[in-house]
Amino acid sequence: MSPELLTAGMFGLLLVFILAGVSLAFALGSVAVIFVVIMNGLNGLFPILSATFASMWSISLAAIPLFVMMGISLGKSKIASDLYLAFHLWSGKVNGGLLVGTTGFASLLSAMTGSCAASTLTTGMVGMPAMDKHGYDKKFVLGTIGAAGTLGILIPPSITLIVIGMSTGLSIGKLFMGGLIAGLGMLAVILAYVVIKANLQPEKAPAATESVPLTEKIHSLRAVILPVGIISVVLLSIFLGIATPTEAAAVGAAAVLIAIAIRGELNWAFLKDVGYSTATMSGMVLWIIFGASAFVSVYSAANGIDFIQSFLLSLDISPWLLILIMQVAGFILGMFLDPIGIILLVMPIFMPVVTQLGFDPIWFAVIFQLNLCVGYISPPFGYNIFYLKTLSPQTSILDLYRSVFPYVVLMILFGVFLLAFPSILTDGVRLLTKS
Amino acid sequence: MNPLRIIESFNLAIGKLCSFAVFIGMAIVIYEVIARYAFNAPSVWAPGYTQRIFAGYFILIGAYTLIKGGHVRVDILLNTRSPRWNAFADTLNYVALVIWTLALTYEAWFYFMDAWDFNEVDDSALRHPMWPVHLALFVGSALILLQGLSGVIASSLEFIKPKQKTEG
Amino acid sequence: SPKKKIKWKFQTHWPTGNWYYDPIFNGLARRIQEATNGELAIETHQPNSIISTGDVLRGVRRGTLDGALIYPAYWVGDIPVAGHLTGNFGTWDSIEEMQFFLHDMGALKVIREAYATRGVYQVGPVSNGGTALYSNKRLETPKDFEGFKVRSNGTSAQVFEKMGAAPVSISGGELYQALQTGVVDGAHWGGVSAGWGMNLQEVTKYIIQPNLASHQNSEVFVSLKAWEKLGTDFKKVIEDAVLATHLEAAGMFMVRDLQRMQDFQTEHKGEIVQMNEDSVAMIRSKSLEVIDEISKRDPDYSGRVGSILRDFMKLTGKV
Ligand code: NA
Ligand code: NA
Repeated sequence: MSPELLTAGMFGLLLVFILAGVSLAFALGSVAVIFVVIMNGLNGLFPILSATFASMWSISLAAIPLFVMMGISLGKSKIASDLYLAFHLWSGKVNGGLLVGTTGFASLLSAMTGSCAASTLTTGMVGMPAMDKHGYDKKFVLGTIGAAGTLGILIPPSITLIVIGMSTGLSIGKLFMGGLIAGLGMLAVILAYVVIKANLQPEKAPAATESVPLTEKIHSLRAVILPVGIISVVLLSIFLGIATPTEAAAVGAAAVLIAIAIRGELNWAFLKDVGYSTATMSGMVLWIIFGASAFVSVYSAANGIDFIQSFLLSLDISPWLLILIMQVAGFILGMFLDPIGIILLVMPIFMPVVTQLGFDPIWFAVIFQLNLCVGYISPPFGYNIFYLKTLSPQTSILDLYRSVFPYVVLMILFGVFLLAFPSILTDGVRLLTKS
Repeated sequence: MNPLRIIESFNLAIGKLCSFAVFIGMAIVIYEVIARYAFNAPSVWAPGYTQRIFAGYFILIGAYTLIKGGHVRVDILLNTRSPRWNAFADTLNYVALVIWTLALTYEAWFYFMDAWDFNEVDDSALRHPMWPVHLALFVGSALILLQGLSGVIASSLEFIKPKQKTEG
Repeated sequence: SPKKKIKWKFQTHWPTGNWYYDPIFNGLARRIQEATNGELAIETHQPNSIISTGDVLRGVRRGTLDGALIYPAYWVGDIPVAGHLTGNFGTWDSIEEMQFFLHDMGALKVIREAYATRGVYQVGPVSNGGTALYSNKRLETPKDFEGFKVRSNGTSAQVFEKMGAAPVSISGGELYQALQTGVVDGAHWGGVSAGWGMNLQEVTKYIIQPNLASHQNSEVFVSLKAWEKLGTDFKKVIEDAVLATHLEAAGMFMVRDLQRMQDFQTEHKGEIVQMNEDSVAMIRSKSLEVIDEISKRDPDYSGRVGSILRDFMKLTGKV
């Protein structure tokens, strides 16, 4: 099969399946099987199994269910709601104060969990009632939560950064540091937007009127101790050479469970609940990985990857334009596909091109990761949009897209900024990892 | 009892049981971190068994995730039209799953037999048998295949004779 | 009469970005193609592109691939004697020694028998240069190895363990950071230049010499079915091409290892540390202990090569 026909056929059928409502994992896996059988007959099926086994057997992926577990147990315990109360009380009597506190809360959750589900859903569940009560504009609130929730995979720990590291051989530690820089930058952008908008349109995010006594405020800070402890345990275990980033996932998960036990919330029912939910969410992520690795193995065995790579490198355009094209491809794929699927589909294609052009792979990967965050809130397929829908079932999907739209624009602008000033990421990562 | 129900209950039970593996995996990793850092005594078995436990976990929770509706789908065309259309989309979803996992199950059997016949062990210093992981791959694939087949039957029956008429 | 053209698919475990991918892997394919007037064409494929690295042996047996240039240590769980092809710590001191052990003393013949039971023909080794130890701990005397946390695996890890070190298993993607933060004190990743490709020079202070093994090898194998379809002329062409590639690669790796050791001292202010004779002797004796254990477990193949190795060690005055 010619590489042109192969590319059109495999990606075309994949798109048809996805739009017809086939689960992403099954679409990837079945398209791989169909095409390998067309090309090589039933004897050609072995690579599909081999790709699945290699993913199962990859020890870096062990971090995924552990980071998922951290998020789920935090969400199910009262640690999250107490923490939110502290942010609420300290966010003060200024326009947009509650939303600033909510965003800060989401970023703290992001530093404890590896996926966007926990940061988005937990922030929404504990934050929305308070903001409703204070007359905040629903769309402003939902948009901000949706955007702040994407920090879950940008601020380390991060499932997607682990998968990028696994599929490219880049250091997960360096990717985490790059994610931290980009994540804090994006957090600043979101906060700035919230503050400016709240002051231009105070009716959408009115300042709180009631005063909170200082003693109550200080008292609320007790809720911050355990989360800060959890984050410190994870980061210190990495920085002090106690654990590798993969192992830090287990350290973090254990720290969360211990924190919950200290609060007296840990019991058999809680553990069962956490275990079952972790399995469902990890199952989704892992089976997408299985499907995507089967898809990629069939596509690359038929020389599809070589074809795209030599096509990209043969384009008579500036290397910067090529970088831009690859990033835009990430954005477009992010509209339709799951981020894990995208990483496994295109990173093996893009990374060699990036290094051949002489660019810094960590810089490229971190900005690509920011693109994947945009994918969480870009239509039509975006997890955070679906999460927002469950948080606010009466809001139409179209209104949800509108509410996150300003943030999509901001995130793209921030990505362009990081592209234009590479040293922010390259020197930043060097500085953070050389210490 | 309805055979489709039996399959589902069986898969639910297996899935619930296997979901606890994540705690065991966590404990082993923690053990290794402590043994290495505090006692300067890294082990050979801990990394090997972390790999084995999570490998088994990943493949064996597939069917459970399916029953719980965890395998995400783009739903722009779902739940918007007739029940018949939804049943069609469901059937297509399960058929895609069956195509994929039939291939996995078929190949996994030979993969398992290979490791068994040759007494294959891992390439680390641990040298423990590989067949249990290969068997888990076979069982995990077979279980989700079974669940997929039962989904094909249920959703195509629904397609032929929808339970409710189109609403709005 | 015009012969039917043969097209083979080969896969490797060498990442494409490395300097040796083209001259050695593609070079082997070019060599064979030229020597057969294009009648045997070898299509080269990147790691994991057709089949995942761990399944390459199986894939060649099943005909998914026709052959591979890959690392024998991946199969030690399946073919224990493959470890003798990779090479053991403290045995050969030069490429001549390695060659007469494998070819003249008959080790390769036994190894080929073992591979044949898995449906593949073992053509021969392709040198990767030595095995260098990058470290943040100065290792001179045997005592220095006590508690030394070293990233190692397989039989190498067993040797370290017997020396009192603490071998740790760390994935390639996490090795750099593990050395930087001190999760491990040292690591070996092929020779000096291969470790350089992993940027180990940035996060370590010392390179320990002499190399743990003077040569460690990759290998070329071909599906037994595909092999038996060839005439003796093509078989000879392939064997010679692999041998030529092997010898050429040894030189390519060695010169780069030496250059990198200079760079390490000048550009990175690193230090080359020489182990004393006691340490070298200890590595040798512990390595032989591990080899004997493998011989006991696998008398048919490893046992036979193990006794050839014992003869070799006597002949060369090492024991
Ligand atoms: Na995170
Ligand atoms: Na999207």
